[in-house]
Amino acid sequence: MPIRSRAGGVVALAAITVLTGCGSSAAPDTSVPAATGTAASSSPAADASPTSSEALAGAMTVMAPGPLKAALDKAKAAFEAANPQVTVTMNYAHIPTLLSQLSEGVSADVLLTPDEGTMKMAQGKELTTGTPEPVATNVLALVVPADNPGKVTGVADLGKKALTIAVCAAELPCGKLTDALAKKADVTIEADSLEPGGSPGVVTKVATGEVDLGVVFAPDIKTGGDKVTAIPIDAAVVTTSQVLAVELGASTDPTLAQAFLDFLTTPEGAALFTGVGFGPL
Amino acid sequence: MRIARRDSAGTRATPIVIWVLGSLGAIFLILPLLGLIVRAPWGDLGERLTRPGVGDALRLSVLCATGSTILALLLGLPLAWLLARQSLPGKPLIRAIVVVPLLLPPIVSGIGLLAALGRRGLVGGALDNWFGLRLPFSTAGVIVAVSYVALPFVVVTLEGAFASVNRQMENAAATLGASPTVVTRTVTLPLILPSLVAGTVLAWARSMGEFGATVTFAGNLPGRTQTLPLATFLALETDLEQAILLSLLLLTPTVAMLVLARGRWRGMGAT
Repeated sequence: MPIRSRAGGVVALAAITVLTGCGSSAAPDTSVPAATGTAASSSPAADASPTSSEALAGAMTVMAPGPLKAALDKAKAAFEAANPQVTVTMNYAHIPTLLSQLSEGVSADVLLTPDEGTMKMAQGKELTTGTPEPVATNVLALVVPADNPGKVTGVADLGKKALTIAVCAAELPCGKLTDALAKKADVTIEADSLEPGGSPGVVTKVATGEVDLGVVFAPDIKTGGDKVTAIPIDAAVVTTSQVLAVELGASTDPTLAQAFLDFLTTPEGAALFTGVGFGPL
Repeated sequence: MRIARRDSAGTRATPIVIWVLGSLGAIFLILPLLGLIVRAPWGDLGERLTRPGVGDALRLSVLCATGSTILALLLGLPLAWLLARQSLPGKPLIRAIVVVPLLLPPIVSGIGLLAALGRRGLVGGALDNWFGLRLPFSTAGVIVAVSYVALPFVVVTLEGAFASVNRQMENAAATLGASPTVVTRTVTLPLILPSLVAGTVLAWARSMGEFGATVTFAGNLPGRTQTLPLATFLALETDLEQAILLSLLLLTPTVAMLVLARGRWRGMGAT
């Protein structure tokens, strides 16, 4: 498993507080707000005596785009189960909406983005603190109606004018990745719609049978149920992006925020993402 | 109604509580608009308005709003007439169905339209097989989607107008030898004109701002189906200021139209 960068084999959730204190990349991030963070969690000796009695407590909010819901709902449940005194509230919305909320003063502790570009937007608005951590890989896939009326077999079909084709709008993370795919596969996509609803929007259109072929993030294909079929893209041309997680500057409890981030990067956390169709890191 | 008129003639003072709450209502409506105006990027207005796609989206919005208003009038006027003048079975149910497009989230309206008029839809399959007509992802599809959402404004406004026309005046004209066409043109039409203007302007204004049904039924392709609200939504992804500017660009002709109609659309509230 390629997920050994952070936790170094330590999977016991009780040890998360230790990582918060002495994890290599966590140390500089939490140095500034450490005072408030420690006060809030009332565990001043967290780094000195790492025992399970240093239980995390409090409430935190995680912001993420809708397509991450399947994985993050499980992450919330697992994190709360391991830390009974912690309540995690999930705020799922479109990234620009989340960033606007943060700019207008809405409080949250952790943000996840589907790619590097949207994370840069958050960083550009100075809403984040510390270095974003990769937690999973977003992989593109083709999606067709279950009976595949366009007889689609691969990426080359994206250039067929006779097919009704929908892809994500170019402004969206999946649209950017689709553009990269078109370049890599050297195909001009004959799109009939550049869906503002992104990857889930494309899946919905394919599920209605109005679209013969769509390009989406692979995990979203599940939302189409048995009305759609996924066609994996040839590994030689497939494009991917990293799902990133970061602590927010607005966080009122950096200790808790960091503990949640650390959990996401444990093998257990990563498995929640690969379990719903994301690629491994 | 009569009391209100006496008030405006000044025979009785308006209670202070009406002034306070009424003013709060107006402020509540004005503030968000003011917020948009304050946040708009006035500095580089010229450059932003000439960006690729902006002109196309505005042109397409005006074209589709106008087309859908015409379609809504073509279908809505006769429907309003039937509801007002004919005894139909299940009229309350029909009236309820008329306003369903106002009640549904527009995205759901779009799904309904796909289920009806899409190529695998109830009727759409036949349209495709017999006439090769495919509405989804076409400009005609935008007009159909938008007119579905705009139709209630025409029907509700006009049904009230047809019902309130004094039938004795029409009968008198007919007794004096006027043909049904002449009666309609010289008696009925002038009497319903304010409501006709109101319904038309409201339908057009609603059409200009339509997003959900359009994007669901017709998709989004610049130059073909990307109207100004869709372009605005996408601008939100990357450039909030551009999105605000586009929404003000959308509002300008619409508000101008409403003002030009001299508040006749107020009549809708009375029906």
